[in-house]
Amino acid sequence: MMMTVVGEDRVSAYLDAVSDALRRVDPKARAEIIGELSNHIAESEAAGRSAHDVIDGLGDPADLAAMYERELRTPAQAGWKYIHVDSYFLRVGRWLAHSRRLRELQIMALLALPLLVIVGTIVSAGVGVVVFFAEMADRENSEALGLLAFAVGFVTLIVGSVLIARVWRSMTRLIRRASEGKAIQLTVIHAWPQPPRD
Amino acid sequence: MASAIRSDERAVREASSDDWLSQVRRGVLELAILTLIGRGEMYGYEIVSTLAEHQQLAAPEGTVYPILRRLKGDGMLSTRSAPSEAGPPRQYYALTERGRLRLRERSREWTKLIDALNRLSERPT
Repeated sequence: MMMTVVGEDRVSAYLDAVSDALRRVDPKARAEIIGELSNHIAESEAAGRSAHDVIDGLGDPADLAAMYERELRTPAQAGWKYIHVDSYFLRVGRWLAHSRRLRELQIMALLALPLLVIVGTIVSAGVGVVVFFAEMADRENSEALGLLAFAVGFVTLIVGSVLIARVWRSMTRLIRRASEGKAIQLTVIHAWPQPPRD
Repeated sequence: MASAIRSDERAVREASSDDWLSQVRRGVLELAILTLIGRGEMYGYEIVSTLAEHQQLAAPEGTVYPILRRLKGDGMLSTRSAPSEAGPPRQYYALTERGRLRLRERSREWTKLIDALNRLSERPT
C-alpha cells in the first residue's frame, strides 16, 4: 500500500465521518459499508490514484450516507421516525419487508383455505362411504359388506393421499415460483414505505 | 442585452441536459450493474472502474456501492470475501437466481422502452 501519512489521516477522517453519518444504520451493516469503502480506497490507490482524488470521487460523507440510507430504506427516508427509538423495530420492519420466508407463509395462508376444502371433502366422503357400508354390513350381518366397507376405506385412503400429495406438490411449486419471481405482491410488503425513487 | 439572454438560455439548456442525463443514468445504473455481474462475479472496485470505462454509464463512485448493498439486501446478489493484495479483503458479488430473473425482466423492459421510443420517433406527424 502506498498510502502517505497525510492520505491515511484523511482516509480515516473521511471513513469516520461516513460512519458517523450512518449512525441510524444497523451497526453490522455500517461496519460492512466502512469495510467496502476502505477497500475501494485501497484498490484505487493501488491503481495509482491519490487518496484525495478517491475521496473527492466518493463525495461528501453526509451525501454518501444519505445515498446508503435511501438504498437501504432506512426510516429516515421512509418517514417512520418512531422506529429510530429502537433498532429492534427497525430490524423487524426490514424482516417484514424483505423476508422470503414470510412471503412464503403469506402465500401458504392464502392457499390454506382451498387446501382445507379439498382435504375436508376427501376425508368426509371417504368416512361417509365407509360408515354407510359398515352400517349396512352390521344391519344385514353380511361379511361381504364388511369387507367392501374395509376395501372402500382402503381405496379412499390411497386415492386421498395421492390427491393431497399432488395438491401439496403443486402448492409448494407455486409458492416457490411466486416468491422467486415476485409474481405475488402481498399487503405487508406494500405496507413498508418505499423511499423516493428520484 | 441580447447576448446576455442567449448566454442565459445556453446555461439553462446545458444544466437541464446534464440533469436529465444524470437522472437517466441513475435509472439504468442498476441494470448496468446487474448486466456486468451477470457476466461473472466481480468486486466493487472492478465494477466501478468498468463502468467508468463507458462514458455514458460512468457514475459517481459513491452511487455504485449503495446500489450493490440494496441489491444484496433484496437477495439479487450474493457475496463472498477473498483476500486482496491492495488492502482489506475484497467482496466478490455474484448474481443469485432472483438476480438473474431481475436482470432478464429489466433487460426485457429496457428493450421494450427503447423500441417504443424508436417507434415514436419513426411515426409520421
